[in-house]
Amino acid sequence: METVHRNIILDLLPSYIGGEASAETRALVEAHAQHDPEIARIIRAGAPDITGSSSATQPPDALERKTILRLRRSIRRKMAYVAIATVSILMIPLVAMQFTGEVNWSPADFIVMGMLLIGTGLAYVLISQVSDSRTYHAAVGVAVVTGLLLIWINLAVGIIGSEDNPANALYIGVILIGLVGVGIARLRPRGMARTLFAMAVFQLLVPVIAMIIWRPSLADPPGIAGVFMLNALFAALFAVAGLLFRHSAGDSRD
Amino acid sequence: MTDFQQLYSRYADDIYRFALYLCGDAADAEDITAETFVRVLTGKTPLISATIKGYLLTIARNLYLESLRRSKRRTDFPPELVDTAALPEQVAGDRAELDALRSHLQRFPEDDRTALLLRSEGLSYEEIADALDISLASAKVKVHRLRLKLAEWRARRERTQI
Repeated sequence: METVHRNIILDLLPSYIGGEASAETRALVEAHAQHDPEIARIIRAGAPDITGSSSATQPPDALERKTILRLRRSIRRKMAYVAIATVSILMIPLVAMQFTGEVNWSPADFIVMGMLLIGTGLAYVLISQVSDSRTYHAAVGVAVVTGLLLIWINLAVGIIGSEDNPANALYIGVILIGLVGVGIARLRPRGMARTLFAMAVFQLLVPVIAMIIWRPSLADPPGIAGVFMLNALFAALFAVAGLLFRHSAGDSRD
Repeated sequence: MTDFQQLYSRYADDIYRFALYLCGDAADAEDITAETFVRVLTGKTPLISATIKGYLLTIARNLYLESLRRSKRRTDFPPELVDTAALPEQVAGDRAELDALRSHLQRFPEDDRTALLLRSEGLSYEEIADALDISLASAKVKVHRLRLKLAEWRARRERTQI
């Protein structure tokens, strides 16, 4: 058998030790080790078992609790950000009211808007904990902001006619579908996608139902075409959120 | 918390062991392990690996590098002082071996250590190359070089112990 230079064996040795060598390489290294005591010693010693499980390399039991506490602290910090953001946004109309009569919010307006903003922010923070996928986070963001806008516009001016138009109560159905769907889906991306698609479909049905029941009221501004366009816009945003959720289902790694 | 518990029970041992060998200190390894799960579950870190284990290990490594930058210290930790006399002979022997290995590992460059530890945790050379942002060939060289050095170190230790 042809003699192989020692340096070649040393090059092959890491693969041999790591159990990554072919049968031919193994045979070559072992044949050489028979007349090279130093190589034989290295082979006998082998690489340390770094993955070996022992009490010294296992995390202490208290670490799980420590991690949960850190996680809660992190969530509380995010909630504080939501509160700061809410106060900052509410400062805009409050400051504007000092300089112009065009903006005239009652205390109730501030309370309702504050609750909406906090609710939206907390919904984003809590739901986005479920996944580390950026697409999932984007989907949550689009969904909650669209929901917020839908409620806000309805409370402020109403989509169908004025805010006092009873047809606008139909939009509660869109939000209810969302809440029930989120509960059923338990925040899983595929279920969330189905929920958002259902919200989009119902959003499109709202003006149709309103036309059947309250047809005359649809003539009020923004008019029938305006109402349908606004609903189509909201439906499109819910559908985009649904598509993002569906896309994030493909990213999930569990 | 169900997702957390599933993730934690499945990967905590691997992440802790990886962090322990990487930084050489049990308290730092605990911090890195806890923060790794917090980062993953709060979505603070973008997806950077094909497998969840690779993802977690890469986050753990980045946290280790962050802690190094923060403290401006290089790792040359002495092995933890453990009263091996109080332990059964076999356990004490294993513990001493582990401490010696942990300490010895700190003598090598961080990326060499990481490459070998990631390989030991079952990551492919391609994943290691991605995690360290190096070529596939460099990843293999790093793993092989350190593996050989550790085997030589063990052989020397065995010879001196005899």
